[in-house]
Amino acid sequence: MISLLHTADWQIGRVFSQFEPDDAAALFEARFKVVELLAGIAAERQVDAVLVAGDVFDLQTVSDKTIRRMFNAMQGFAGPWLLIPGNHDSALSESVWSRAQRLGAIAPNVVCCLEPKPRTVAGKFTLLPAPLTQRHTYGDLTDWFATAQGEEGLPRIGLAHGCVQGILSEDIDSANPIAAGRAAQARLDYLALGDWHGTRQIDERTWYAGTPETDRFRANDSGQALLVTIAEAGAVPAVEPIRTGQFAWQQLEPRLAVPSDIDELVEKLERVGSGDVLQLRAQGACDLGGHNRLGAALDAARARARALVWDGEALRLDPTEEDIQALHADGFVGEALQELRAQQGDADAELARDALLTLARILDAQGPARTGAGA
Amino acid sequence: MKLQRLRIENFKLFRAPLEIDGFTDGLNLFAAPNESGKSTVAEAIRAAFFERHRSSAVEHLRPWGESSVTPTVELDFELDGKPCRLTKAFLGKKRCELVIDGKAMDGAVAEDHLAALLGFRFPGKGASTPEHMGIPGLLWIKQGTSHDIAGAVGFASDHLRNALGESLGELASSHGDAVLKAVESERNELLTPSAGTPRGAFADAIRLRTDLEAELERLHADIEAYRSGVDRLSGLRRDHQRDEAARPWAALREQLVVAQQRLDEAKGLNDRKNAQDAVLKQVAAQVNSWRTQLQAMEREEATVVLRQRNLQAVHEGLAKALGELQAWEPRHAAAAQADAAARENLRAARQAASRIAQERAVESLAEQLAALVQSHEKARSEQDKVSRLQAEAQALAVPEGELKQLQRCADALRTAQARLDAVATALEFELQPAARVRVAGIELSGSKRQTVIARTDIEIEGIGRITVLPGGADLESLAIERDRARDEIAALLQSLRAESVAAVEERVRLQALRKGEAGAAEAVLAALAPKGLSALAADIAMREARLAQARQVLQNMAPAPAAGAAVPSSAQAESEESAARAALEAASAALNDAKIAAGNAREQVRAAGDELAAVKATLDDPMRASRKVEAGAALTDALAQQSALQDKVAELAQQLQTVNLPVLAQDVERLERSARQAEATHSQRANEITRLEVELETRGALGQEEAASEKQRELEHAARRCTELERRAKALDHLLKLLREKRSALARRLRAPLQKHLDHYLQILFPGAQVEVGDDLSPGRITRQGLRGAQSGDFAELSVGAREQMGVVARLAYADLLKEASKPTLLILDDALVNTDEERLRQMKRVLYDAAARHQILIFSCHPDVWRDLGVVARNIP
Repeated sequence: MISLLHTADWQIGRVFSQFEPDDAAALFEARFKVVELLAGIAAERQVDAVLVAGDVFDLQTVSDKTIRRMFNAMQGFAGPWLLIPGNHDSALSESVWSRAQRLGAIAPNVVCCLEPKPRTVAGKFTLLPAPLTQRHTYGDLTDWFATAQGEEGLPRIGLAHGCVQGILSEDIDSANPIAAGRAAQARLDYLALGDWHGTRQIDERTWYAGTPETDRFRANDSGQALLVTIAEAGAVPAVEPIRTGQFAWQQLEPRLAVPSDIDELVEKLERVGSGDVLQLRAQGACDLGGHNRLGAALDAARARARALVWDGEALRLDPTEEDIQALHADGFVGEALQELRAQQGDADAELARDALLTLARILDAQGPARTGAGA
Repeated sequence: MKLQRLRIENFKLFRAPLEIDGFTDGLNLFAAPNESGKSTVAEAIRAAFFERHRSSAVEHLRPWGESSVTPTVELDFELDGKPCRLTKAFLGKKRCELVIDGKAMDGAVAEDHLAALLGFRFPGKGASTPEHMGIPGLLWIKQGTSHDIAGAVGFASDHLRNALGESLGELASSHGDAVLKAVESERNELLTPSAGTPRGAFADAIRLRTDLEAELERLHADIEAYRSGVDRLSGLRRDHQRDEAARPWAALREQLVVAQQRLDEAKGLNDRKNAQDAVLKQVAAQVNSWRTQLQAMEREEATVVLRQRNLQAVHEGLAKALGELQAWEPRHAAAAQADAAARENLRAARQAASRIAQERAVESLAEQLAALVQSHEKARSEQDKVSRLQAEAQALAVPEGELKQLQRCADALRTAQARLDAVATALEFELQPAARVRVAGIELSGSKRQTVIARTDIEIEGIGRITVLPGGADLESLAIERDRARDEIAALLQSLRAESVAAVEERVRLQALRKGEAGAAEAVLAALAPKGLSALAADIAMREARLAQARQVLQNMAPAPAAGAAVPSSAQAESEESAARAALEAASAALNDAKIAAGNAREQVRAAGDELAAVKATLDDPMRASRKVEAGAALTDALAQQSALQDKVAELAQQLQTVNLPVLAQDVERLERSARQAEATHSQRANEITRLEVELETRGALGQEEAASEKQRELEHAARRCTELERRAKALDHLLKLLREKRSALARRLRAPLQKHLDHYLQILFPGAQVEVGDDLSPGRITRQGLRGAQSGDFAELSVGAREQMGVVARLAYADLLKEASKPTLLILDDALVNTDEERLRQMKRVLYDAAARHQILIFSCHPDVWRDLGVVARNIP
């Protein structure tokens, strides 16, 4: 019986540019942390090997420090790590792998399979790796699996990075194609795939592990690794998803129309915690009071969440009479305010709304002074 | 408010009390000369209201010199329909009493009450200043201040705003303005006030974004370069491995060896052929020489005959030459003789000719001499004639002056005589034949006329004597004159030794004649002897000498030939001589030629003879025959050898053609080069690979893609910030504009009533004009219809006159406004329109008349005539 930890798409070195610097830094860090976590799980579960199915690095020319840190993070597990290059980190004549080699950062138990040659791993199974060695690959690199001979009696494990044809992509000209049914055709006991960032089963012997730490807002069941147990050569593998992701990425598009909608949203925001990476795109309309409440809730949530992106451009401001009363905007200021309200229906609604908010803010700031002077 | 009665006492120049009453409701015109106190009246009214009765700053109200009196002002007026009396006394016995509708007040209470009613206030201490004077300060125009309105409006603005219904602080000091200011300051943090270009944090954000974009671009370029480097490395490595396996240069080297061999073979063939060619050439040469030798021998044999013939020919030639020579010799001698004769002839002819010439010369010389002598004679006679004539002329000479004088005297005499005759008494006689008359002793007869100038006796025989005594005083003098003239003439004639004037004249004439003749003679003389007689004589002498000489020569010459001897002309002799000479020359030349020819011919004969002998000698050589045979044999051998060799060479040449040596050589060169290049390329590529590896290693270590991602993140962050600031700036800008717009609209609305009143008066003064009310409620921008269209200008830019008018007009508008707010409005114009011209003043009168319907207006002026058409009688200050 062999047990393997199947993971992929670590995307080490990815910079998250849509967030604030500190949030982006934390998310950059998280990617190393999850590798440490995987090492921990591997050691704890005493797996026979860890398979990393491509896109280990997000870029070819990551800094030396990043390279070293990644390999350092793998120290937690002393067993074999088997890595293949994906499309982001393909094994070109000069690549991040050759750099890592020169740096001497690769520990002996870490094997970077840069050539499509079968190897026996720890005498326990035969690994058939399909590394990407070109900038753009258009052929099926797993073709040779069927003809590859391994040791008699040992399970055959395939390790590849690409797009399963007919299931994930309809386009036959897509890059890195992998034939559907490759596992059966090549008599593999298990085919460990990477490139699709969500955990996904293709068939009973073919799985995508997905990225162990979510890295985008598309809801696709990422943040996991797979523990694969194969009783013996020929047996159907048992696959157990293990949660590894630290952060939950969420994309919300709340529609606001009535004050209760705002209340709902505020409530949701109150529940936001340190593990949340949130993108909010609001639509509809709200009054000034509601806008203020929303603003306060967002500020609070931003401080708690790992990262929060708010897009309120499509939100219309509809100040109520109470709002206006509360502002004590009379005389020409009041007239200006009314006009801005009306302008929100025109071509430059966004400008009108911004001006309206600005006026509300200034009036608010002056509020205490005014009420003292006597209306 | 309507003033009714005024009384002032001990006030400035009014020591005695002054009372004015009978104020009317509308216009009250006070016209008085300067220094009559009209301003003092205005001042009294001002003091009564503005100065506290307890004020000690009012010393100036006392009459000059009076230091103890009490200036007093008493005013009866109507306020809101209620009768009021105000009595105020300053300095001495201070007092203030106010009775309104029967109710009395006094002191400070009364003063304050009045101030509240009229709209002014009192200073803390000291004299009242304009800032306290409020509404009356605005409406009671002090002398010379009507054009200066903004200040007064300012001090009354609270009242005016109240009248407009503006709540305090609505516009000017309201929180609306605070909002506006806040918006403006926030906007100006991000945009420049004037142009609205980004500044401050906004500008910085834009700059940062631009910088980051540039940096990112650079990074991308580097990354691109790195990537293409990596791709190139792949390519190079691929090529290198391929070549390492295939080793193309090895094959090339093998081919090279083969080619070299073939080349060497071909070269060998070529050498052999060349050698054979050389030998062939040698043999050919030998053949030629043998052949030549044989030919020469044969030629020799042929020569003998030729030579013999030659000898014969030249013999003949010699004979001919000698013949010619003989012919020419006699001819030459004859020619020489002829030539000598001709020469002799010529000499004789020449001699004769020269003699004749000389004879002729002598003749001519003699002629010339004779002529000259003759001339000389003539000249001499002429010379004498000239001298004679000149002497005569000299003798006849009459000095110029004297002649003239003579003539003059003659004239004078004539004149005198004539006058005398004229004046003189004339006596006419017609005598009978028998009569005997004597006049002055002279007998007369016949008819006669006579003049007498002196006492003259006429004796008539038998009758007696008549004495004529001509009258005329002049007669005496005339007679004297005549006598004098006569005497003078006589004297002159004597001096000239002439008989009469006519004689003198004749003399003069003769003199001239003689002079002329002398001149003519001189001319002739000059013609004959231009250079003078002596010169002529000298010339003659010279010629005589020459003649003698020539004669001598002639004598020495040879005698003339005998007459009859035929002397040929020299010309003919000359031609004969030259012909003879020519003939001689020709003959000489021919003779010479003949001699030479003969010599040559002899020479030729000799030579021909020698040649013949030589040839004969050669042919007689015994060895010759054997040599000939030998040469024949050798020639045959050589020919055979030659043909053999030629065959061989042809064979070799054919072989060579098939081989094509140049192409083989090129093959070797080509293959050599290719091999070398292949090897070089391979090693160069190896170097390139090494270099590229090193470069990429270094580059890769820079971690550029990670850096680029990081920079991208920064850029997005900066872009977001820019967008945010931009939106903020735009919103503030938009808001600011909107607030300002609303504010102006509101201001305009609020001031509408004032605007209306101003417009009402403005149309009378400047039809079609418009005035803007400023924020401080004083007149601002004025737009008038001028000759050249609408002109717009600030109030301050108007002329003093126009500002004066506008000042009054504005105040009337304020008064209307205040009246609507039930405030008291008394207007005082103290010499308020001094800078206004007649035309404008007309308009102002209309304005004032109109306003007077609503307000009491007091007008003080020192030009009563100007206000005659105001509709009200001017009053004096009593």
